[in-house]
Amino acid sequence: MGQYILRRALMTIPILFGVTLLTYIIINASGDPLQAFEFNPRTSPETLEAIRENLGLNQPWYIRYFVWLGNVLQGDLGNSMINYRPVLDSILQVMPYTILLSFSAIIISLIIAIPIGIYSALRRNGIVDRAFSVFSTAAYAMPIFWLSLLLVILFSSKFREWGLPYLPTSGVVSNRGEGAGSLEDRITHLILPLTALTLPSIAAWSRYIRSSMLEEMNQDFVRTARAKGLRNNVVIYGHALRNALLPLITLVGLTIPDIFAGSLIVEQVFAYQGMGRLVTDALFSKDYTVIMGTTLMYAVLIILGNLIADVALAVADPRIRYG
Amino acid sequence: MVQTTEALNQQVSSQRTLGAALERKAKPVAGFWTSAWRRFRRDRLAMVALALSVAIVLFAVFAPLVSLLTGFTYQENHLAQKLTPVNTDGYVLGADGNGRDVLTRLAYGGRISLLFATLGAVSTLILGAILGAISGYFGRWIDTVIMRTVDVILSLPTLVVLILIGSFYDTTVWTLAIFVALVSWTGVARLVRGQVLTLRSRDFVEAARVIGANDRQIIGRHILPNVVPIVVVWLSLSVPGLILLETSLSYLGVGIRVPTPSWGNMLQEAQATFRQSWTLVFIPGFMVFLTALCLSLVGNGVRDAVDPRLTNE
Repeated sequence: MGQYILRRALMTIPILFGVTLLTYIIINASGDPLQAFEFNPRTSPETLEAIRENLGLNQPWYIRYFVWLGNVLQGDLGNSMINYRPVLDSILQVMPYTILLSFSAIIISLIIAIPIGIYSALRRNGIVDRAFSVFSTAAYAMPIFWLSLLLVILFSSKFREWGLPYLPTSGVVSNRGEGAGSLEDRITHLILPLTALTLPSIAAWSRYIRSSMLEEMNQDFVRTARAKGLRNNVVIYGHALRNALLPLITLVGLTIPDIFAGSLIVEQVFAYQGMGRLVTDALFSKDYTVIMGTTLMYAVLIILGNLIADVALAVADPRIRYG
Repeated sequence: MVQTTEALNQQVSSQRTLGAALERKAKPVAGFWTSAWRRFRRDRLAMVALALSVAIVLFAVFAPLVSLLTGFTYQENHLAQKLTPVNTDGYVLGADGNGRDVLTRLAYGGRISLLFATLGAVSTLILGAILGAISGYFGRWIDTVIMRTVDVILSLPTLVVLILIGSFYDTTVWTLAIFVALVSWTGVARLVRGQVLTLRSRDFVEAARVIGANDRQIIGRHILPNVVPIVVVWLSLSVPGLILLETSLSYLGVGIRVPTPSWGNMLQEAQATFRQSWTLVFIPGFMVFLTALCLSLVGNGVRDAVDPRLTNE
């Protein structure tokens, strides 16, 4: 087992290397980060040259790449080009919020999707199954940002108009007022973003569990289990479900980039201070070092997520380790 | 001697008629696509979705006609009429925050959104299918290089990379579609590679090789036709996703640039005034939703019709 994990972990190194190289090329192919100052009469060519020298921009891009990579390996992601704050500090400050949002989204989606999937498979083509089929097709077709806005309009604007208790729509916590900063306050701030983020994955995963359950129910070992007179529940949960959940582990791992993409949009709509906000702000101010750092961090999280999924699958399914 | 030639000719001609007869006899058997279409037609939900999709496409294609009927162009703004509610003063779906007719903009925006989705899907398909086919057919180091690249791209935060590209370059529908293809060809490449790998070891390919067919003939005659169905299914299922992607990118300000209307940037502009007018947010979003929904139902129908085994039932 240990050997498997080690082998699998070593495979991520070249991938990480490729990710950094690719991002670096994309960013540097887009031209000079100091272009904005080029035609600024208040910036003299000498100052510009000095800034370039200072930031190391007078070197060719591949030299800069290896310098940057060398620093990253020592845990230094450089300083922001806008406010000179160490990039790693900025990222570490907001990363917990994004992880909290995405991780809770995955957990909640699983908690809701698995029972729906099982029920739909057991009562196949029944009214509940059909209803969830309609729901999941609809949820898949919904732009996440539109869904978020509709949630804001309904649960915040309209509820306030109607005098009902309404939900907060921005930030991770209230700035002032009673109970600001309490756990309850933090949770109420998470409700709307999480709803918008979980709906698509609930839709997709519940359908997936349904079809993989149906497939397992037709397998020989299920018939054998029934034939030897096991109780229905044991057959369903002990035999069919256990096998049906295995491919789900891989699917969850593969969905992580989508969850991050969704969280980026949701963070934007709900002014939620996470990595998504950090990177979009950096993109519009062309803060190269922050963009590189955040992209790298996203990639690390995605790779880590896939690694965990693979290891979890190997734990759950012994066939993988020897395959 | 003369007789023998005649007999031979007779024999040849009789063989020809036999061959022609066989060919004629073979005709009534429905081809692959004909029978797929027959299966598709039986799927009532997919047919309704197809009709609706066609209606949406026509609405977008005939946008100038819509403009003629509403009496507004998509960019003329009457600031005095801004935020006109639905169905007042000749604004069927109201006017937006700049006093422009929403219905007309919806039609023109549809052109851009649908064009983007089509271009994006097709360019992703071409890139992915070619790389996947090369990878699967030639194997060895080519396969390794392409598949490791796939691994790298799969680990990238795709949306971040697209925003990165979008914020550094001035994108049009065409360039944006190509950038989308560059970051999302991995899925279809894996699909095609897998299919090619199984096909490559099938007996009929082996047989073709034995009678001396070269790579080009084997790929063109024997492998590609068998990859087409799976690719068609992929294509029909990927278009709705691209319509949604356009919305996300335009929302973040890196998709289709204003003043060219698209459903995504209409939504983005509406966000500024959503507390005054929720219909402005609702309408373009609903259009995106309806289009994506219909197209994915059509996609499901296509999947079931083309390869009944792929159905998750």
